[in-house]
Amino acid sequence: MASQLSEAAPDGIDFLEVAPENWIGLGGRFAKQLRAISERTPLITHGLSLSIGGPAPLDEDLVYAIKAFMADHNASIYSEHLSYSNDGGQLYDLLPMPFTDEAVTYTAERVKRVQDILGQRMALENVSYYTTPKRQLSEIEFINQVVSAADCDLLLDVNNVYVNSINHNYEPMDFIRAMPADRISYLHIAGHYYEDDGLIVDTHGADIIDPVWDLLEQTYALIGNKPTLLERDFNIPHIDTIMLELNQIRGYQGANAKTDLVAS
Amino acid sequence: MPKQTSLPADSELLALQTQFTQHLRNPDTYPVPKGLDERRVGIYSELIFQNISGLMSEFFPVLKQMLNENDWGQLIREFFINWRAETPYFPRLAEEFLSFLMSRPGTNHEPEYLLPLAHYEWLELYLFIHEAELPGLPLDLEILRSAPLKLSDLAVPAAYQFPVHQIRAGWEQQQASTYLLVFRDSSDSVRFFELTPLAYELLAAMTESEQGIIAVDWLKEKASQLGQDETGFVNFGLDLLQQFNQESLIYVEASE
Repeated sequence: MASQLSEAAPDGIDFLEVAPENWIGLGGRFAKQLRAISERTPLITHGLSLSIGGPAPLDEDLVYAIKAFMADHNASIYSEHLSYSNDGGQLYDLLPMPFTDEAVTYTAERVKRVQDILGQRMALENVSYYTTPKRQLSEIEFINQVVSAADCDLLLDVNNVYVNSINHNYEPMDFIRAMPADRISYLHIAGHYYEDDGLIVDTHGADIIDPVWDLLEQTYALIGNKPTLLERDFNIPHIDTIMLELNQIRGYQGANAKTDLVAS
Repeated sequence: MPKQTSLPADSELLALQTQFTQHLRNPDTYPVPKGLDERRVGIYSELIFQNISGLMSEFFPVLKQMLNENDWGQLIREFFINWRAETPYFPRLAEEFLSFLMSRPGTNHEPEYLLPLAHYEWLELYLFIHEAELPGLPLDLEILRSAPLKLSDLAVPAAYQFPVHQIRAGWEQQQASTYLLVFRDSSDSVRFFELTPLAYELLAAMTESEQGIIAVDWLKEKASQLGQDETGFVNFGLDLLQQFNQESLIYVEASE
């Protein structure tokens, strides 16, 4: 993906999102490709490894490295998943938070610390989850309370809302209506993979399906146009195919919106 | 509730998260946490396993190819059980996996070349993503003869007991002392030169030396140790160095 993008910058990409943990400390060919991209197209950063809600000590070295990376590439936004990945060792995946008061307070304090280091707000993403170790609060309460206590932004992943609405049996628009609209800094949309027996597993490796398009359209109608990022991590098709999906997003947004694309 | 960014030992959150990850890491020893649906927890088990297995097969494609499915799966499972990976950076995971492999005793049905091959594949990636750049243009021949020479950080002499660069499906396991200079070239591709033991020794000396090695002196001393004709030996050595020099792998520390 990086090589396709570093050689030809298609019109119609307003910004790109990168996972800083894939690029920090990298030299050689990939670093040159990223430089060629960031000199031309605005970048935002979407972290994978911070484990913001996790039991291991907050990795402040990583936060400082992300801050330097953002400055180096003039990246504006830093977002992370409302999740954890480190239990004293990295598991490199997004594990489900217990929805408890303790988890709210703890996670919010860590978000505040990150924001102090960065000198700016970060955005937390609602993740797809298949179970949670404890449900003292609802998912809606949990997300709202963390965002409010941490005074941070929300990255609303529309695909994750859809996936969770199937897996946890709720109405996706009810969920979106209950999100703090004034805190939503941008949106994610993605395809996913269907597993049998009624559970959907999120992979970011397929085309976007119609119900998710509908949800995106309704979200714009509810909260207005927001910058929207098309996530594609695996099975990456030719850039022309991706541009078709971007154009569809643009179609929903009307003339003055921003559309985007991921390069993980 | 206390305001803090780490959890006390009696924290419920800590207990809930630890029970969950203990099961994901080692499902045979730690059961699914009470009250949770086995199938839903199983999705996480599957996700973390496939994610690491997928990343490692990108980093160690030949190793993955040479091991049978069961042995490969066993390695990934052991990695979760016995290793605590620290790096948040995905490309550095190859290094974590190599360290994990080096930390374990191994089993007698695993191929003997497992570690050397893993090291070689790690080295290729290490050089591919290294932050250093090549020193610049090749040195003049006169400088190559007279100045203290150092080897670029993008060139690593490596010695193995197996021909790691030749291992592929269908390869008949055979020990052979193998000396390579693995390097990243000016187009950012990783390549190798096969070395003689003597060339390996010279390049290793250049790597280890703080101030650099004057090649002619080193070669003359070697010639006398080995009872070789000095002039022929030195010329042979310099021709060899010139090959690496053409790739800009050799440099001289700038004087103050």
